[in-house]
Amino acid sequence: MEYCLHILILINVFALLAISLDILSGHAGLLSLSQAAFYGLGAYTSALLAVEAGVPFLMGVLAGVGVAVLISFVVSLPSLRLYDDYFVLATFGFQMIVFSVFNNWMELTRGPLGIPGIPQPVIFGWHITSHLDFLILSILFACFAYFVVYRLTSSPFGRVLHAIREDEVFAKAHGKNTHYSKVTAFAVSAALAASAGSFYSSYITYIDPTSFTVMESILIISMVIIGGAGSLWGPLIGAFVLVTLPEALRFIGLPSSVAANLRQIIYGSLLVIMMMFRPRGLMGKFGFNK
Amino acid sequence: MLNQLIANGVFSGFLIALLAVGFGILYSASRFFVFTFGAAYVWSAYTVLLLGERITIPLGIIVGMGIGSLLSIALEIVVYQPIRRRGDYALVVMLASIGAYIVLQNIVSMAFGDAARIVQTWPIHKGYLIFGDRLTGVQLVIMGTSTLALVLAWLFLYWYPIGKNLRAVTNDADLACVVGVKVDRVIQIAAGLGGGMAGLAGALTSLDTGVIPTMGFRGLLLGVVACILGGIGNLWGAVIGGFLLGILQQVAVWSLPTQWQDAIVFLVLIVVLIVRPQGLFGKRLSRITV
Repeated sequence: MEYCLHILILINVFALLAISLDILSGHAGLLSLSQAAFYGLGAYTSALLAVEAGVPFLMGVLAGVGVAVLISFVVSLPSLRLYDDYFVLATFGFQMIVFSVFNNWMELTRGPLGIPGIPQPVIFGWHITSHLDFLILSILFACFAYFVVYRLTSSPFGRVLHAIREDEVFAKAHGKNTHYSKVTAFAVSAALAASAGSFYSSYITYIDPTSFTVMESILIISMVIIGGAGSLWGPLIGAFVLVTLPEALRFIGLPSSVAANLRQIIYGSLLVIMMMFRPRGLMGKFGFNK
Repeated sequence: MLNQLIANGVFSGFLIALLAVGFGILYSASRFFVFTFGAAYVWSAYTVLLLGERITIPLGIIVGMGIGSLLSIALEIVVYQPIRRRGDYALVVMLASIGAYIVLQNIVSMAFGDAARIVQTWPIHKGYLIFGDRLTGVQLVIMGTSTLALVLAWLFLYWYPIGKNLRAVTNDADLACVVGVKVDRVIQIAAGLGGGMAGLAGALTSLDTGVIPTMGFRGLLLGVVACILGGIGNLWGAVIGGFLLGILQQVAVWSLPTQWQDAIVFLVLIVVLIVRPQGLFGKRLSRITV
């Protein structure tokens, strides 16, 4: 039972990450390989604040979101002038730098040793300790993200994002400030990813850099794309499929080292197969093919 | 001290130049960021590990090169070409190549384990004094082989009819098609050539620093960054970019701990992308909008 709850919580965390990336990649058509970096920024900020300064959970989440948004501006203001695969490359580079900081800045992040003993959250006197409590909290987080993305993408702002995806020059010609819209979408995406990180760190109570590698970024973008970019349900389904499918491997009785590789092989080949036969994903209406 | 660092930088510059030229050929023909370039690099390095232990290292290098080349051609024919024929956008092919890269890297992990391995070369002497700097025998072999490969690539591109077709496709694929160049075939040749050079670089790197399954991203990114630094579509630019990057990496070690070496490469990437996306010697890039 605990195990099932754990899987459900993980699905929620990844659904939240996939939704957060969908606003950027699905709706604005900007493929980013740096979602795990923002996820990690949220996780590290709130974990360090909680461990070192005893900052309460919600404040930690807000601080993590704040840091992620600030850093997203540093990245997005210059790099969003780049197009297509050059933007992908810039986000890739940023992801590698952030990982390098997590892994090497020993004084702050303790490098590969990670940060143990992160306190479990207390929200207005509600002590969250059992798996069921965490599940409820994770559902609240994911619902909040879903709500934010739903409202944003069905607003005039969302229509500008869609216009950027379809034809940016055309949107500009209609007097839309596309640069502003892209920077905002990037910031919202980073903020939601950071909140997922804060939640994750207080749930697992231990973080180390291996949770925030480029592979994790690729996993998140795979969820969005396999589920269907730009459709609200697609990323949720992608997250569900890519979290549960590898778990099934556990029951075949493979050793855990092989299972980890096999898990990546599964989502790698899913990505190839989807791109070959259904590039718009399971639920999507749009597939990066202008 | 600085002298020795620059000598080391020039040495790694040879390998990076090889990667940059290989990636440049592959990218300028197929027009997307081919992540599986990194897979050719890893597979070849592990071939050297496998054959070097059992038979001899030179055979391992040659077979490794062949495997890198064949792997690239096979992926081009089986995965990328069908997607490109369908008329899909470059990002779709790139995502497929990310998926394929993950699969190929994890196959290596499953077969050889996740840990780093050392390739046994011949016994190490004190090293040879050249211009007052010490270089090991392995390093000299690597430099000689790389130079040979670069010269051969240059001869192929500029003196061989197929090379001329390749440059035509690089310039304008549609126009090349109109005058009767078989574009698909030329891209396959470019894949073979680029993959072979990635394979050679991987094989030579394995002699110097050993092998680890995750080395592919490193090889890929060194190639990409040097190529962009020099200017895409410019063979000499790629070579110079390779040496610049090699020297920069080593000189940076002078003032920073070694673990930041990778971060510096990505920082260079981001700075170049933002400040001068066409590279040092490249033609100005513009987004094609119709």
